[in-house]
Amino acid sequence: MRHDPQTLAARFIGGELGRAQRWRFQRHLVDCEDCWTQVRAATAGRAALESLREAAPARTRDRVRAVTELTTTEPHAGAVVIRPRRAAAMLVAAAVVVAAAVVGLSIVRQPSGDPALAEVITGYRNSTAWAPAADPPPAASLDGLRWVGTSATTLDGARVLGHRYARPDGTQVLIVIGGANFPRPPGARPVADGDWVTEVDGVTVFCTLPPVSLVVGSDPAAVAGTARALVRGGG
Amino acid sequence: MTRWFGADPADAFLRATQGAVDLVHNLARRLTDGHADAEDLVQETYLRAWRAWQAGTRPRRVEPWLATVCLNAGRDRARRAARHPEIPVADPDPGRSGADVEATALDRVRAGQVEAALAALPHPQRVAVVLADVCGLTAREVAEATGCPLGTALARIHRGRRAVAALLAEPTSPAASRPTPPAGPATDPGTRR
Repeated sequence: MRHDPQTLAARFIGGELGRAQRWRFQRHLVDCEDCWTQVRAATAGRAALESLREAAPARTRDRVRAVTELTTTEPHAGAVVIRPRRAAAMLVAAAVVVAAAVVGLSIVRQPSGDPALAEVITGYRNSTAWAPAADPPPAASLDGLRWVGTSATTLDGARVLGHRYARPDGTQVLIVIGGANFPRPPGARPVADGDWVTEVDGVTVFCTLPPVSLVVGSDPAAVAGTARALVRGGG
Repeated sequence: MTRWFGADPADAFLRATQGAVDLVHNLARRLTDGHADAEDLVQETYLRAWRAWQAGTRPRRVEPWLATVCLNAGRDRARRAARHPEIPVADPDPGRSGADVEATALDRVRAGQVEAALAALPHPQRVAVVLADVCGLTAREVAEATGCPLGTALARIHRGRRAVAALLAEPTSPAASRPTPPAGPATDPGTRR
C-alpha cells in the first residue's frame, strides 16, 4: 500500500479498502499521525454534513404521488392509450406543444364540448372572464399557492365561485365551488373516493367530493396538491 | 428488479422510487434557493424519471439514477433561471411551528454554519459531499451519478469533508472566505512515521 494519507483515508472511510487492507490500515493509524489527522478531519466533516439530512415534507411526497398518478396512461373507453414504447416520442411531442418544463401527459383527450366544463376552462385561462366577487376563499394559501382573488359566474343556472391561487413562479390554480353539480364527463379517470380527473386542451380538471369542487390548472401536480390540501382543509 | 415486471407501471414506479424521496429532497434543497424551489425540483425529477420509466428505463440502482436525474434537472433550472431571473420572495419553512422555537433556533444556527461551509466549497466537491453525506450514496454511486471515476469521487468527497471540518473549526464565519485546504499533513510518500 503506497503511503498517500489522503487517498488511503478517503478509501478507508469510503469503504473501498479490502478486508486485509482495512485491517492493515487500522493498525497503521495507530502510529501514523498524518493518516490519523486525515481520517479525523474527514470523519468530523462527514458527521457535520450528515446532520443536514432531513425527511422530505409530506407535501413533497404528495406531489410525487400526484405527478405519477396524474400522468399515468390507462386504457379507457374512447381514450388515447399511450403504450410505453410510444411514450418517449409522444412525450417529446407533448413537450414541444406545451413548451413547459413540467407538463402532464394527456391522459384523456376530452372534447371541450361540455358547456359547463368549457366555461370553467375559460374562467381559468382568463382571470377577467368572470365577475369579481367578495366571497371569502376556502383558505389564504393551499399547497404553497396563495389566494389572489375570487370571481363568480353562473353554470347551469347556479352561481359558482372561482377562487384563484398562484405561486410566485406563475403557476396558477382555480378552485371552482358552487351549487352546480359537476357530473363526471365521459372519459374522465376515476381517482380515489369518487374523485375524478380529466384533461381538456392541456388543462387538468380535478373534481373532489364533497363539497363538489373543481380544481383547475395547467400544472397537474399543483392541481392534485391543491385538491388534497383543499380536502384536508388548508395549506 | 423482477418484481417490477407485470405490475401496474405507476405502482411499480412508486414502489421502486418512493424510498428515495428523502434523498432527492436533500439534494434538491442544495441545488435550489428555497423550499418551494426544492419542491418544484423534486417534482420535476420524479416527472422526468416517470417519463423515462414509461419509456422502458429500469435502472440497476434507483438512488444514483434519481440523483443523476435531479442533478440534470437542477442544471436545466439554473440555466433557465439565469435567462429569466425571478424576484425572490419570502419562503417560510413550512416544517416547524410553536413550542420548539428555541430548540429549532439553536439547531438552525448549527445547521446554518454547516450549510454556509457547504456553500463555500467548489461546486464538484459540494455535489460530491451532498450526494455522499447528505443523501447517503456510496462513493461508487456518487461516481456513477456524477459521471466521474471512482478515484475522483473519493478525492472530492474527502477534500469536501476536510474543508467543511476546517471551516467549522474556524472562529469566524465559515462562509466568510473560500476554503483553503486545511493545514494538513504532508502527502509525500516518504513521510511515513
